[in-house]
Amino acid sequence: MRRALLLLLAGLVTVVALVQVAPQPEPAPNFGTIDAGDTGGAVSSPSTWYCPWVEAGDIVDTDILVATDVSVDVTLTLLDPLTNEPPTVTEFSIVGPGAAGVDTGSLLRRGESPALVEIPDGPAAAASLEWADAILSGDRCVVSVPKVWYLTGGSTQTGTFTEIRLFNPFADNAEVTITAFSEFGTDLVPDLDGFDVAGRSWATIDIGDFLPFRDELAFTITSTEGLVIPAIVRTDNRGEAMWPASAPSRTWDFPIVTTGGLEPFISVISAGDDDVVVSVDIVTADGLVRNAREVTIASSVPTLIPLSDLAAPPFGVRIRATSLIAASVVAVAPSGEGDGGEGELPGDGTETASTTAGDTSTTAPEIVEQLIRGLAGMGGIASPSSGWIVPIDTLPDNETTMWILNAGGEAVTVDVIPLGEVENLGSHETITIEAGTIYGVEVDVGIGIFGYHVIADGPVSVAWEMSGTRGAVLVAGIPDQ
Amino acid sequence: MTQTRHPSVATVVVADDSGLLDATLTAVERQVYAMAGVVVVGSATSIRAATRGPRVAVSATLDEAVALIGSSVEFLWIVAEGAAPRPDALRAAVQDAGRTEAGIVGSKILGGDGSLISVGLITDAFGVPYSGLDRFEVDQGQYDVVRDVAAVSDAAFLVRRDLLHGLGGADSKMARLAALVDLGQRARLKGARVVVSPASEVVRDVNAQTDVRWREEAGRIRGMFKVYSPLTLMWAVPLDFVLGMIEVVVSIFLGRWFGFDFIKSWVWNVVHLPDTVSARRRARSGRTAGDEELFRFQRRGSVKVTSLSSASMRALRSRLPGDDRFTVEALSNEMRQPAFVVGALAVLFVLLSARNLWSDGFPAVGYTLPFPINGADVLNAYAGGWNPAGFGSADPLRPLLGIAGLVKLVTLNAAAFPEYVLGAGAMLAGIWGVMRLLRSWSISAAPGLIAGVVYVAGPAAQGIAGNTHIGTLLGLGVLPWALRLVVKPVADGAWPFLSRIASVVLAFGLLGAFAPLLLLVPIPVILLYALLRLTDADAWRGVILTLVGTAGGALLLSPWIWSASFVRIARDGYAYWNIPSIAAVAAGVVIVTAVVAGGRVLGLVASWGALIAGVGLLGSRSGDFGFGTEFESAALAVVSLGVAVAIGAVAQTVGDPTRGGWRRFVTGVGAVGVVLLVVASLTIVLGGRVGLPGDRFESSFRFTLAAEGEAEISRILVVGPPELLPGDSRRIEGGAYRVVSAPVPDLGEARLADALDLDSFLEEKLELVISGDTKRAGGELAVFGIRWIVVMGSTRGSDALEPSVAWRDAFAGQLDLLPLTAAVENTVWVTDINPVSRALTTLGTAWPRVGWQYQGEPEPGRNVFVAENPDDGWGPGPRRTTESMNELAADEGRATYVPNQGARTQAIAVLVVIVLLSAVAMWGRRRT
Repeated sequence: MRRALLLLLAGLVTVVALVQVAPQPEPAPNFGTIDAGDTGGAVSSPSTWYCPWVEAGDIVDTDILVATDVSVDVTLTLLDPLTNEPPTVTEFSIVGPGAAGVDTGSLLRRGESPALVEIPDGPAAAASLEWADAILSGDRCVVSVPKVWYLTGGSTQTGTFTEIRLFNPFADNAEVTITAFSEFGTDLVPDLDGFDVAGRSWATIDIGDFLPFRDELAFTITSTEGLVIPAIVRTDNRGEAMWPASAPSRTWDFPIVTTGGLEPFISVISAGDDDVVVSVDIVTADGLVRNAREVTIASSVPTLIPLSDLAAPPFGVRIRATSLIAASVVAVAPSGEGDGGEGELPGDGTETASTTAGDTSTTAPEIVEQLIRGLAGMGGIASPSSGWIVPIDTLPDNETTMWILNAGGEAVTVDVIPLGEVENLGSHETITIEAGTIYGVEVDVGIGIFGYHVIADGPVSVAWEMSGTRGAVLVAGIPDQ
Repeated sequence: MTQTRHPSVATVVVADDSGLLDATLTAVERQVYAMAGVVVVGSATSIRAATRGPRVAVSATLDEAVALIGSSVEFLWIVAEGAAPRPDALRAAVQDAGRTEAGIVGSKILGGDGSLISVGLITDAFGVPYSGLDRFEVDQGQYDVVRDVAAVSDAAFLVRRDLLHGLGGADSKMARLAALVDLGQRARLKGARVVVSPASEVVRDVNAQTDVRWREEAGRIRGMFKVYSPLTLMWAVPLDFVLGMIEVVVSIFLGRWFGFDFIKSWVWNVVHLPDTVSARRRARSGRTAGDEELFRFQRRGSVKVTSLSSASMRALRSRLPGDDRFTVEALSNEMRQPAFVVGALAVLFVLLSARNLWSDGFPAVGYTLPFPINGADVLNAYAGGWNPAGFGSADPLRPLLGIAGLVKLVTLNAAAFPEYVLGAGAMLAGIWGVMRLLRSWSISAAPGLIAGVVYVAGPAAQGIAGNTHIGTLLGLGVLPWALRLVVKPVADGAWPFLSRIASVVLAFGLLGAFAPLLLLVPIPVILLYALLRLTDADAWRGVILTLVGTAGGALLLSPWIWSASFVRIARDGYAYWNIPSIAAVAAGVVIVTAVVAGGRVLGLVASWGALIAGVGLLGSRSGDFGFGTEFESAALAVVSLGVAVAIGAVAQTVGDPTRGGWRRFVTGVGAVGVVLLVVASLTIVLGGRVGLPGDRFESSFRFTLAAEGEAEISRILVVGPPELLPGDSRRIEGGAYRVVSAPVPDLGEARLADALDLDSFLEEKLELVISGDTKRAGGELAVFGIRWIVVMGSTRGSDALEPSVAWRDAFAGQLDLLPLTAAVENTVWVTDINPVSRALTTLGTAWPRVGWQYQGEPEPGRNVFVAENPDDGWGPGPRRTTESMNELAADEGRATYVPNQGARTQAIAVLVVIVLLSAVAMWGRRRT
């Protein structure tokens, strides 16, 4: 009897033990993958900015522009095209708030040489501007590194060239898969599947070699190993434009899309598998044209949305989409202005898009200059912010204007603080920007302004444009996070 | 050639109170060779009656006798009381001494029945004497040739007086036989020959008095220390130690116990080491020959091994049934008395299961890490020194480290051998302990062996090994002994009682030292046993003994015990043993059948086993109740014990012919379960690592040795899934990481202390890295001496582990980390920063870690930054904390930690108490 009871007791304990369940697997640590929603902002901590498209040769120079709110010692590293050769490193100090520009041509002249800008404190930001007598291109540098990048606005139609630069500043080798999309849908390029980029180097891919005669091109670049910072460069017989890749977003702000008399287009691609309805709001100095154009874009097919017929320059654009999209602005010489007379502009056909005019009247584009030089492009701004660090450059014979877009429903008061290597760059400007308008701040040339700190009491977006005899460029500002 | 000169010889008779002095003196007086005199050495009262005549003098000691004889005498003939030299024995010895120019001439010693007792001795390299004679071998003149030997019998031998004087006589600290061998070896070092003269016959009809075995062993070891060169000692002493241990273990199965002799002989030598050094100096000064001269008269191999082999074979032959006895009945008889066969099987199983430990030591995986290289370092750290885990702390090391250090020290810091000794030894002790424990309930050896094998290697033990809790695994070897000591009735008398108390405290202390939680196991287990045997006074005495043992054992864990938190140990991690379903069914069947089919006592004992197995199982899956992995392992030990008890009961019942009917059928079913569990246990033989998983860190971190000198000055940051990291790990935003020494962390680094300043500083830096706020992780981590970053686990393909991928991505985008392809499975980076060092002077000179301290070139007037948690114990001063690390003066070229004197005193006190307890335990045992 005693044994039976003991056995029963042991059995009960065993049953209790057996009904215990295994522990839930621990969740994986939540770090390491920096899939930021955009290319990042100026943070109050050390940051490293990647500028993929830097070149200094016999005719081309590139300025690296750094604007900061605090005093910093900046380290600029220019990679050597020869593997295992030590990079060129230079350091310079900026008394904050301040800004500075470094002409990489004064450091070396060896052609392409992507740069790293390491800033030990913040908020601070960097941008690059490539210039020559007849070249002007550039955009902000990139601070965050998504695993999946989107690039829009490419084309390999006759007379137009598109290159992708894959910059791997890290020691690890990177392996990426580039997926191309054109008006034909997904364009398979086996050579770009599992593309290797050695550590601390870069690769430039001429897309025309693989996908010639495509009117519209967009790309996704996925890192399967290591990390890369991609940028796209589009050139034609009028000029050159470059802009970095981005992550997708539902909204995109382009504080300015018009510059130098160029005809602007928005290039978009859906980041998902479904059709996406894209609404284009036009923001001018006078007011907002909501839903000026609404386009339904198919998955895997990049679409160019013409803007020049929606308002007279200058104007900015806000893009809203029903799902995640990637977007960039491309501004090209207007139809009929080409040297070779091949005046068909991309997007004229808009074959795949159904276009609906908004309920607001639109103004036809007005060509001001007879000779239009240049090609401009810019990545969008995923979300507005109340603070912006805007590295800016000025060049002789060119006009530089910083544009502030207030696409919200209320007026905002904005402090615009010029930044440079010296203190007296003029007084702070406080302006009020009405709801649904843009405001342009003309930048004085030659007095040492290399940036602005823009502080608003509401969300705004900031970009700047430069145009003149050298061409035209659009450069996005960097939010102060 | 005819001898023309007759050397002067005096005879020394060494009396030993055997009452045969008269006969010996008579035989001496009958010698045909004229003697210069006769001196009897011994106590005056014993020899007064026997000595007669004016030519017999009396002396108290041999030295006095030699002095008494005077320098005119050339030879001394030393004859032992009880020896009866034939009339021409001395003449023959003198003649052969003259012919061979020998310094020492021995006689042929015969028994009264004509059997050979000695024709001189040779030894092996360890000084173990070997006569070369068979037992009862009759003298037929087969050895009648004058030949060189290592030593001669003390029954009668001739020695040159000046040689004996020069040698300082026989070593009075040595036992008889060891002293003879020592005398011969020292004589050879001085260039003298030692021969045996077969023409010199001496009859000795009684066995010579033999000293106690351990004294002979101690003397033999001392003899080695005295005569061998340092080079020979380097291999001979460790090897002798190993052979001694093997002899201890094997002899157990031959029915002999030499364990205490072994310990005492070595302890004696340690105590007498200063005197041995002096004696060695005397023995080797003015030597004309080296070790090679000694080797000439030594046999190959080991006498001990040979004799053990012979004894084993004899035992085997006696155990094997003959053809006519090969019946079920004969087998059953063997099952009842299978001491040797069972022992041989157990040894064979252990040898196979631990074979890879012999060459590789413990695998470096999880909490099982290699023993530290230097035992003295570990003992120093255990006794109040610096705990090297992570960035270090002043927290005491676990007692397991003390054991590891001690074993390392005793084995002269051998590489893998200490781990083999502990691993295989614990396994063997576990099997043997279960056999002894089960014998408490009259369960015989064969069932005990089966139960023991399942106990140390069954599914539950494999679960412990899978958890890589090496301490608990080793503790399996002690647990049944601890229980046996409290369950076994205590004999009457004070000494047996004291001896038992001492043994229990020692056993419990050892149990707790291996695995602290196991110290708490016996109380509930024995209490349950006593409750089941409510009227058994011995069982309740066992409860009291258990309480005393637990308290005493806990005190032996000083100084660690005073800062330890058993609650924290028990709750760290998540206890969940994924029990193999087949094993669960098999164990269940065995337990049920053991309870149902067992007799009155066995059934009750099996019920006890069933209950503790059930409670153990619940403990092993008690993560939901807040218990952790170390608790799981301790609970698994309880499961293993409970199942072993049940297996013993079933196996015993199977061999019981009185059991019939349904009980026999039920027992048969239980036997099937036993077979399944045994088969499951035998699977650990495949790995040959006592069930432990294969190495992980040795292979993963070996690349750090590629660049000479880097491993000694650097650390490795190891990140990834916590179960793939060495020992404990810290967490940051859900990711596990820890810092270890290169090239491979040792056992001292397995358990991390609470995070201190430098640990927090590292956490800050890691936050920078994983937040992406820095792209120069190499520079950020270099200040900690971190040169390499290893992401454990696959990060590619379908095998990719999420934590590994997350960590890889965190470090992938760094500008000053270079990827290494050295490790196939893991992702590895090396920093692009220089210099990187755990200890760096202000001039940027790296100081390597030597043992468990830092040493480098002195830099007078400058400082060295030691990347260990700041602590005032670090020196030399002035010390200050800079960036959460120690800044010390670099004048002396070293950075060390001054031990905590309180902890050190406690550790020494514990050591003294252990020695005293051991002495009491042994003494009481002998008195019993």
